Amino acid sequence: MPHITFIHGISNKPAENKLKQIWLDALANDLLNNGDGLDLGAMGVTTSMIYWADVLYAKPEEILKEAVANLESTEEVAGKSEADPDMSWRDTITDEEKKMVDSLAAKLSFDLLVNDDYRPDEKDVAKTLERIPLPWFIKRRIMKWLLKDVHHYLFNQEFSPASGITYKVQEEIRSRVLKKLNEVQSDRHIVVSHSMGTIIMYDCLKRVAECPAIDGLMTVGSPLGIDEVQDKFAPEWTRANGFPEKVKGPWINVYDTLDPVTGFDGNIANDYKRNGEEVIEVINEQNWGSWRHNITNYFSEPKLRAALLNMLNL
Amino acid sequence: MDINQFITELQDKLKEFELNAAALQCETLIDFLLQGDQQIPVAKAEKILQQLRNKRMFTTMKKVAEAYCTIGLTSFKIQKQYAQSMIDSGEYVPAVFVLKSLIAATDNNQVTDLSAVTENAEARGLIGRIYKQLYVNAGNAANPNCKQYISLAVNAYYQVYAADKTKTWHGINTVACLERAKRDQIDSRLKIDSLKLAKDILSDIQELEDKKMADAWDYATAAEACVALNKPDEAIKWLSGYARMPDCDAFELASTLRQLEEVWQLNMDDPAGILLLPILRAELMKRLGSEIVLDIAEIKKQQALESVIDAKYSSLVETKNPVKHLEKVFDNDSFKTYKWYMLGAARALAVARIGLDSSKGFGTGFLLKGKDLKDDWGEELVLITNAHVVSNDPAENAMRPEEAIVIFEAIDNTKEFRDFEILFSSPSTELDATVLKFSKDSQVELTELTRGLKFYPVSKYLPAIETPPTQKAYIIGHPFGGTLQISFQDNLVIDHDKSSKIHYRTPTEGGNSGSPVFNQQWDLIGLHHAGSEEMPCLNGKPGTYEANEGIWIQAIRKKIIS
Repeated sequence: MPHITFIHGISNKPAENKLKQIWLDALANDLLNNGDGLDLGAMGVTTSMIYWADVLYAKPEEILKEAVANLESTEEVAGKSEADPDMSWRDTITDEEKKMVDSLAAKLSFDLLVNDDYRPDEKDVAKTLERIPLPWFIKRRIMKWLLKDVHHYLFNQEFSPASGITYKVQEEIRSRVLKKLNEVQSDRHIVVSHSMGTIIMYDCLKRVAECPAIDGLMTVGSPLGIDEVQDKFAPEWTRANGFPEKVKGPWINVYDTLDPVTGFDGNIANDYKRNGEEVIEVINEQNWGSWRHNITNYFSEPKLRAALLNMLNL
Repeated sequence: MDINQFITELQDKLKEFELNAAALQCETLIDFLLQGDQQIPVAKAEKILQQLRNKRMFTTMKKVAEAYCTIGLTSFKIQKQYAQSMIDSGEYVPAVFVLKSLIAATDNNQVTDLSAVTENAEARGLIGRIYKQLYVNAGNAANPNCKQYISLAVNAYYQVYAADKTKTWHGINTVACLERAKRDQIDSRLKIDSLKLAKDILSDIQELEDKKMADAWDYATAAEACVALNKPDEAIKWLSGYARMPDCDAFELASTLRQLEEVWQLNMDDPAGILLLPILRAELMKRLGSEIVLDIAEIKKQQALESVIDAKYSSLVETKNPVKHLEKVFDNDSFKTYKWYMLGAARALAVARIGLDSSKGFGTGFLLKGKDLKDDWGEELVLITNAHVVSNDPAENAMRPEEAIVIFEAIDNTKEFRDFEILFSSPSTELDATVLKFSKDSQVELTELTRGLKFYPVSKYLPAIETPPTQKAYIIGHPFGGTLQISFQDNLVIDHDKSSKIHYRTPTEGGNSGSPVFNQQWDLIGLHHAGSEEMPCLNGKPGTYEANEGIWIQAIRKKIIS
């Protein structure tokens, strides 16, 4: 029977088992009344979660502990006062890192959002980020997480999420990916990745020799379309040959036009060609609500579900 | 003994319903306490009792509590827990003695000890609960003892509430008993305005809700107050919020359901029952470790009223999506849970009781379209059960097909089907399955009777086995071969092998032989076959464990085709 390995995205998360259950529930629930819920367990599909939030965050997020809907609610976490990440690391990075981070920050309109009270003029703001109907301080925090998580991973930053624990971020996360992927014993192994998890997964599949092959890859709300991210994958990555050979079956990329984490460039087929040909199947979903990056929103969408079911070959 | 390790291991067993193993583990604790000279910390001792209670292991809980008491390990809370174990085992008289002694001890201590204050009120409430239950069990309002029980219950509850108005659980039970006494025309002799009391309680809880300070029990209490005040539309919003509370598990929901059915006497004949019971049953069924036993008449009414209830729920549902915080809202998730439950309830219609006469069942069977087992059998309906229920093989000690009388209680309990022919049988040592063909006349009648019945999908897949197990399986059958009830039993799928067997565990009695087994989407996965405390493990794993066993429906199909 098929196995799906999940890998989560930016920012802190609930504990591993809780997070996996949230993802499974999001796929199983028929939130949009389409009658297309995917109860993977009942269908015989086993699942696992590559969990790496603890590499960058001290303890699991206890969001919604009093709440009902088991949602992975990024904006809920972002709204909490203690959620503001420390960005002093930007002062101590090398020139190469600075170049990449500044460029990425500019692309994400991050540096316009200079403090919690600042409300930029419309003309100063990238039109797209302006369109996200969240308070500015929340958007700013989310972009901070994205910058921090992406930088620390891509530059293999040494980081201490809690007293007495230090990780080389990329090394640690890569080893977790390999461990989880190698544990899978299934005749059909699909990886479903979200957000920063798509960067991690692509990095491992393309650039880590020991990484096992998989039968299919789904990337959801992925920042892989951002040039600054792609540049870090070179030389293994080229636009004409960016498709990882270790993906033996389809690569499906799902994005929402208003998902800011995609850098508003969700259509990545032209960036990861196979022998010069566009082979990634790209699905444009229209999520709802103020924060289009939520995995629970994406997992409710009919086109994503149909594509995943198809990948499972059931 | 490492008590922390003991608690962890006990918790692991209870989580996976290894109840016999948990009971055995508790015996080692009892031996340790009685034979040694060491005690365990009071807080740990209390936690063990709570764990056992959460899984309704009242007999073991009582034995452990008795061991505590024997060696003098008796906090006020342990004394209360000891009484609770007796109450839940139906031993009311000794429970009253323990509670009275606890009340006497805590009366003297109240000023200095917070736990004494808490447990004093709890003990008084439990005495109220005992008398309330005695009244309900007696079921005869004319009996002088009965009259006394309800008065004693009201007294016990009201004393606590009158002394401390924050004890709304005691307050609402006062209301429930007073209203019950009123309906049964009993003068409880206490001059309390029960409806004013209900209004006060509701208003106090609304105030807590406004301050975001209401807890799960407050929500359940408010729902009951709305029942008293004849506001079922309001009650369902509180119940929906109650069901969304993270600490509202099967135990809590079953208590609320019992209170509404037994004390408030709600059923599918009154407007409040029609609105509240299906949603509570649905939420209970969603919880791990639940069992719902429904009268056939209730199932029929529930099915008959489905479109009415649907329309009513649709009008009440607030579609803001999703509800993220505790709110008094009947939300879309509750509505979906109800729809899911009704899908399962409809599965009961195709479940049959099989026996030698119409008064008692010997086993259970269920209908399938022939083509689900073999393409050639087409649309014709067939009945599937265990070979140890119906077989021509004398070694099975089963009914012969010509002896079997089949009744579909939930469709038409007056119609008996007989004169079967065996289409396929595999002995109990193999697949333990028999497929029965109806006579021509019966087939015509049955086709007419089941017109409009949605036949369940037959799953091609077995549920995934995860560590720890997460998938559930549901068995629908006639408990103990009875005639008037159908049980929906929730099981945790613990293992299966590729060839034929599915293992699952339940905290309740084993299901009835020949019952259908469904996955959590209500697709048919198997035929229930046996249960054992020493079931051999599957997939070459050594040893045995306690488990129920079902036969994978696709394995039966494969054997039929071969």
